[in-house]
Amino acid sequence: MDNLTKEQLLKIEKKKKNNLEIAFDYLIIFLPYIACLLAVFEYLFIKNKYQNDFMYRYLILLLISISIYTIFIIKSIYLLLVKNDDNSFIKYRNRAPWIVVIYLFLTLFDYLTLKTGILMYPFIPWVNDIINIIIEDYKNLLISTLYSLRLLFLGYAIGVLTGLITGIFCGYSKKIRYWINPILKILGPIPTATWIPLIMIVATSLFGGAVFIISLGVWFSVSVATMTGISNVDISFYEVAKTLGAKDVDLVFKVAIPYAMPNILQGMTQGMSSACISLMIAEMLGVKAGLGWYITWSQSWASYNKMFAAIIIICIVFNLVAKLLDKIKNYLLRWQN
Amino acid sequence: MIKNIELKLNNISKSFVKIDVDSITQAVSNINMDLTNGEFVSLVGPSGCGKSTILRLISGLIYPTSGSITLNNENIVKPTEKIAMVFQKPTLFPWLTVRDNIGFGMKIKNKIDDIKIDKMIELIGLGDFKYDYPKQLSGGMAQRVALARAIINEPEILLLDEPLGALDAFTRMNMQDEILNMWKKTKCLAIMVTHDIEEAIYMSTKVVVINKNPGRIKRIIDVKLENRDRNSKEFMEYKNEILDLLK
Repeated sequence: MDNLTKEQLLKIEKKKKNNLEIAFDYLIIFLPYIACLLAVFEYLFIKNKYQNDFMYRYLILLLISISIYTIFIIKSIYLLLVKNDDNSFIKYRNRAPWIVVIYLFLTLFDYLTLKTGILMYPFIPWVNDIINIIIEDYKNLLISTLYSLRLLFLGYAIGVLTGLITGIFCGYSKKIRYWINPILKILGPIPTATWIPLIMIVATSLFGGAVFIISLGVWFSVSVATMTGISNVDISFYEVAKTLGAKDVDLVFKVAIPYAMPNILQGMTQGMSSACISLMIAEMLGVKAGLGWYITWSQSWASYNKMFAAIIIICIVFNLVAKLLDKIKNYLLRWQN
Repeated sequence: MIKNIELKLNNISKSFVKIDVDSITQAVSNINMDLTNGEFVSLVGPSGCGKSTILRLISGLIYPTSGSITLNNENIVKPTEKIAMVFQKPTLFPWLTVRDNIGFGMKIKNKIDDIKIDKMIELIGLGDFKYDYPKQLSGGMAQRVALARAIINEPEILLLDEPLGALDAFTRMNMQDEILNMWKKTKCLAIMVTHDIEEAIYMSTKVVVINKNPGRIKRIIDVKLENRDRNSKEFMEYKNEILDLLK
């Protein structure tokens, strides 16, 4: 009894569900299948208003999505019934309603576009049309995505690095703070996008200018966050470290920076969102590559389905980037939980 | 085994500038002490008598306004790992595990001795909590880790600033014995600030009674007890003597 793990104890203390509640959970977890079927029927059996090439592609997408869902569900039910571990079951039971909503949205969207044209083509294409254009133009989209990512990460890395250096020096030394703080205060409220037209004229290369703009925003938020974190370090931590033989360098790297880590990561998250904004604006205004450029370019050719394709890819890419950053953050701050 | 050490406080005074009013306060004045290893010295006195100030002066975190503090005839100019300090709050680094907290001093010098750290963790009875973060520890456990972190560097002087002040009575009595055991093993010079007179008599070889405004040494009492029984007659006599001095 003494050797319980935290998980086991939590399980013992959890309220038991009665059969009705369990049946309800199973019902909910199977609802996405009904919603998915609805989407399929709507797609197949209502007459199209427009010509729809390669119509099976949308069906494949639905099939893939529901298959992935099925794999996870089978795994979680296996864990529940065989290993008696209900974590993943509960997780998918809580996600299921949202998955239903997504399928319903797809159904409705298809009805409003392909079936009835209430949302007018070509301004708003249906999903299968977007899939078609992604497959047809995948080379350009892929290259644009890579260009965007290169610009984003280069600018972000430079911004984080310079921001950390500025923030650490400012947090630690009053003299340096005296000179840097006013600059941060004046630049702070100005959105970095303001400088883009100026940079586009002054910079010798558009790419370099865009990197500068992106890193400027990141530099700002990382500097401020790091400075705040480091100047707020509890003095008793320094004292303890000193009595354990820490030198000034140790105080910075082994005490101040770890202490300020939550602030620094906060600043890095903020910096990422500002970097994404600057990236899009820079690409839409001047840089001749990347997803932002692809959007304005396809818009000017009135190929709205390409525009939608690029927007969807941007959504996916930026979400993945945010998720990656979140994972890093959770790992570095694991001591907080 | 520790080499012989001599800690000398020669006519120490320390004043602080008050930030809000344009004046200074004298925290301690004319402190003279000669201490050596193997002693366990307790500083007792009313609140604000400068007990903690004396510890911080010895640690090198602050400097005396006048007078000098020497360790083996050398002035103490900055904190070193030879003079370890345990504070009233455990002040464990929250981002390090129990193990890494204890190994902090070694890490700084790049001389990590895993076996020694593990032995120390076993000694304080926290083997099951090695890889836990300070957040998961109780007050007593955290203070034990803080003690282990200070002692593992084999300091010549161990400064204890009300190390048990935040603990409940039962944990407190256990910890008194644990500290004594560690001190007996290392035979260093231990100097402790405490509010608790019984604790001072129970643990120390010397009790320094300090007066207020400004802090001055009123008397240094050598505690000579065969067995440290809190209810014995001698124990009570020491207690009454100190209480009288503090009146």
